[in-house]
Amino acid sequence: MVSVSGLSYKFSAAPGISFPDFTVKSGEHFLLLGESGSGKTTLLHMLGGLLRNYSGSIRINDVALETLNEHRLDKFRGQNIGFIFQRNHLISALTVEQNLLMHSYLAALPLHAERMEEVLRSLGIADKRKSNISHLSQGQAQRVAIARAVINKPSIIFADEPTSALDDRHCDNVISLLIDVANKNQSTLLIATHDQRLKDRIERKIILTH
Amino acid sequence: MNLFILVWSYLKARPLNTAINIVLLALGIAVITILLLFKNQLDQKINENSKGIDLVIGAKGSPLQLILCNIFHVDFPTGNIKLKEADRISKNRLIKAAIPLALGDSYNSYRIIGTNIRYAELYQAQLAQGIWWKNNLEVTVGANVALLARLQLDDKFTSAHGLTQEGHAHIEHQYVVKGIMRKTNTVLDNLILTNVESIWEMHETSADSVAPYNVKDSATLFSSLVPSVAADDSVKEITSLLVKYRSPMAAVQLPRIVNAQSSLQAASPAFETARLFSILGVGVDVIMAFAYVLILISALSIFIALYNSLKERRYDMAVMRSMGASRSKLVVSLLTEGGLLTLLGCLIGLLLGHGVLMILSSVVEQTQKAGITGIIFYSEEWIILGGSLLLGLLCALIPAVQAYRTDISSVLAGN
Repeated sequence: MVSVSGLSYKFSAAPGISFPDFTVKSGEHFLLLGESGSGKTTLLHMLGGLLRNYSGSIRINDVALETLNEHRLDKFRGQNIGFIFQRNHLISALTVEQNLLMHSYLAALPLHAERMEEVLRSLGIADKRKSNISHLSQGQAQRVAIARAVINKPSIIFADEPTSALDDRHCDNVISLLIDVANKNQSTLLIATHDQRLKDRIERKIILTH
Repeated sequence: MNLFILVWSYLKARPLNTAINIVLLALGIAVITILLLFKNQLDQKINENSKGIDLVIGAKGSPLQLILCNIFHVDFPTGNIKLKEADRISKNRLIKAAIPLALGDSYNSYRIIGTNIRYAELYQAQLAQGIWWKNNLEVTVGANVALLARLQLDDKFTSAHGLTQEGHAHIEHQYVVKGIMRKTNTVLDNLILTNVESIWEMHETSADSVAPYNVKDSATLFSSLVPSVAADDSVKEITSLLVKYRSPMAAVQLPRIVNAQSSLQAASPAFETARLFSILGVGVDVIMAFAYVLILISALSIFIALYNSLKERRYDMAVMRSMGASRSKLVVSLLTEGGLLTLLGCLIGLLLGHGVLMILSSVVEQTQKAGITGIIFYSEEWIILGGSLLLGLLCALIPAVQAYRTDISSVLAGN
């Protein structure tokens, strides 16, 4: 569960941005809509504990993020949250499997071989398990990024513009995959986007106006 | 999965870069290792070989030559001294013990030394086989001589005049091997020991060889150094006298007394080897400086590699943070990378250094004779290892601090 109240963030050089209060219940999927510069990424980073020093309150799974120190925030993030970025940001020195293992290791969670198999299979990349990242196609790399986000069964998945660089067919595929994977893992999905194509796929929306 | 696998994968992902860093460092470390092993073993040999010898008395000439010839058996003799004079000096109350040496002949370039049993005792030599030499033309040989010149008990051989293989052979006399010594790891291993009389016998012309040098007359006093000779014999010569002092006082007085005599000179092994090292030292310093330059370049190269990779890996690090990695974990991973690079370079360098010396000692007979080996480890090597590790951590320090300070949110937002 995510709940936000009285949240605002001030960049050093710019006027502060205020965000609307909202609550996302467990298992619900939301779109976070808004023009470029409306603070979608900023909000997502605050929700994911990547950005601190905001005013207001963010509660995730009944934990107020602002009460955690940096170290505990790192741990909380690793164990409860999965991220998908616009660019895939896979670690190219590692194989597909090692990229996924890395997430479990950094989050200090155990990973069973069956879970690895299950996730890779559900995303149709089981045969790429030992591949190098540089040998993957764009679409395969995106699937690996999704697999990495869900490998620890996070309660929340944050996706930042996951489809903006994709054509219509791939966009449709990716969003279906995301929803499917999120449902299978009983994760909440929150997608920040200005991509109009996603509006029909997820009904609940948070709209940022600036 | 752990940080080590990650670091290793990063190193593997840039094989050329990693290899050049490791090779540069390894070369520097190898040079230092070789110098260290060589110098330590040489120091040790010199100490062992000159142990118990405070002064060498011989004919006038270069004092360094006197030491090199009579203690280390590498240079040629400065000339001969009269046994009578040596006898007189050896009776000086400042001298505790004096051992005569007569050089001049060799077998297969192994020197034949005419001396007495006290010379063998000086190096705590023990017999492996047979007995000590007793009569003329009997020899006891060092361990290396037996091994490399393939001499066995009761073998007979002809010596050659001079200390090289080309010398004229003394075909009219043959030595017989009576004993073989155990390895002492001193110069003794490369020597053939016999009595002084044998050396004389070799060099006497057939005319005077008839004249016995042991005119045993009850009234005659005998030489204290070579008891078979009359004390007032004015013909017999030896090469040198190894002297042990009775008291520290002798170090001041004895050289002066000896050098005052026109035909003799005294040289101190400690002083002359120190002089030799100060001459060689310049060369060693130059090589050492070269090694340090190599290490410095490799350190710089490692620093640049880590610093550049930091730029390439900004996203990797930010993503790792998003997956739950703490700042300190990123710092540790960078420090591990620097440390691993230098540790590998150092280990390869140490192996290389030992390997080169091992090959050298098995191929070059001279190093074999000198007893220099590659299979020996000194505690200084731990210092080299520790120093290398520290160097790696130092190289990684600035990149690590930068990684610590990275603002993940702005990296991921693409600002």
